[in-house]
Amino acid sequence: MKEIVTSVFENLGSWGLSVIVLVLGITEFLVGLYDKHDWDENEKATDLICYAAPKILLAPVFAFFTLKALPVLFPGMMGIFSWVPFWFGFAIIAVADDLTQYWYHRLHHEIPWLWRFHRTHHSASYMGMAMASRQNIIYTVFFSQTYLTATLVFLGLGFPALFVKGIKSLITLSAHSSITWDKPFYKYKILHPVAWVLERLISTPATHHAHHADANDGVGHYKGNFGNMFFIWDIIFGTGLITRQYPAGYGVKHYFKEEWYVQFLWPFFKSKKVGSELALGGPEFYDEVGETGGYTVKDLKSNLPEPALHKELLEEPQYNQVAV
Amino acid sequence: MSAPDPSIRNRIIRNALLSIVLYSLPVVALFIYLKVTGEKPWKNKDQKAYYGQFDRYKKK
Repeated sequence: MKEIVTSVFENLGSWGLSVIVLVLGITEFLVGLYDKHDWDENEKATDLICYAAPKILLAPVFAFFTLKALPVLFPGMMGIFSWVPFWFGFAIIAVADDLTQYWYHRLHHEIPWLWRFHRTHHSASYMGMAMASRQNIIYTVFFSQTYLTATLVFLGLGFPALFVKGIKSLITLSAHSSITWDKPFYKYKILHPVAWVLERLISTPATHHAHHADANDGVGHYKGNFGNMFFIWDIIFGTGLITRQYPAGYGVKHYFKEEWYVQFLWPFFKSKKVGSELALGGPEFYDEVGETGGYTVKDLKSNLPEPALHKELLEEPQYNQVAV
Repeated sequence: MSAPDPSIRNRIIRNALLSIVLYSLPVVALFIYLKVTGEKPWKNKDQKAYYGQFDRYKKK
């Protein structure tokens, strides 16, 4: 039995999750969950590049860290904690990985200058498999829990890590899905006690969709619900909101449909969209009332370039003067 | 680069301190378990580490 379960999770980690993403994504597409949203070519390109490119570009970085850097950083310590009983190892990895990701995520929302590295994940006006991996490259490179978990695997907690990774991926993917699997738990009274535990323990579509909402309106809660696998961190730290409802809209209010390569590669590439947070000289962030972090409206007006259209109009020749 | 609002900054510091306790809980639980049961699993020389996708460690 142990071999079968191990084999399931090994396959889940190697190719299984990609298949689940694909099947779920196709299902979402076929039942029309993307139809009502503005899923245009630029959005599709952003989703696709963010999903595929890190798998190719960052694989050497992670391989170097795990195979070359760790043996140097921790000489002679390979596998020294392999004696740790499975369930304790599971708890150590689960807390270390998910609490670190909670903080990594939360700080990108609460420290203004970090926001733009995470904005790409929130710029989608839809939920689903298409946007689940949508992240700026810098955010992905510095995914702190990846390195922490790799270190714990090196030190001997690889077996429990295999299961934590599989379970965590299933929870986070299903929380991003536009298939709201948690609805029956809220609908049927007999399931309410299960719902009560579930929504406090793990991220559900209701709580995570609220985090992706375009408004803090009592259902949407983009200033909280930061948990990835466990929601319990939000409960402990008071950053959670549970309503058992789904937001009316998703995304960021001041979305300029920035170019796909800018969303993926900012700050190496800057947006040409005037006023964008990703443009040269753009504000660090817009909050929900349209004011900007670190900028006053006066600063904005003086710092931002004139709208391109306006400039072109000014440079147009005065026809009434050149006409013969 | 602008700093977070002081109230947010203070909440981050408070919650970060609490996080140290949360990180240590499973490790503390392990110590209590070993103390109570008297087990010394690190003395079992047959323990084999599992590295999964990082299996190449073993060949080093």
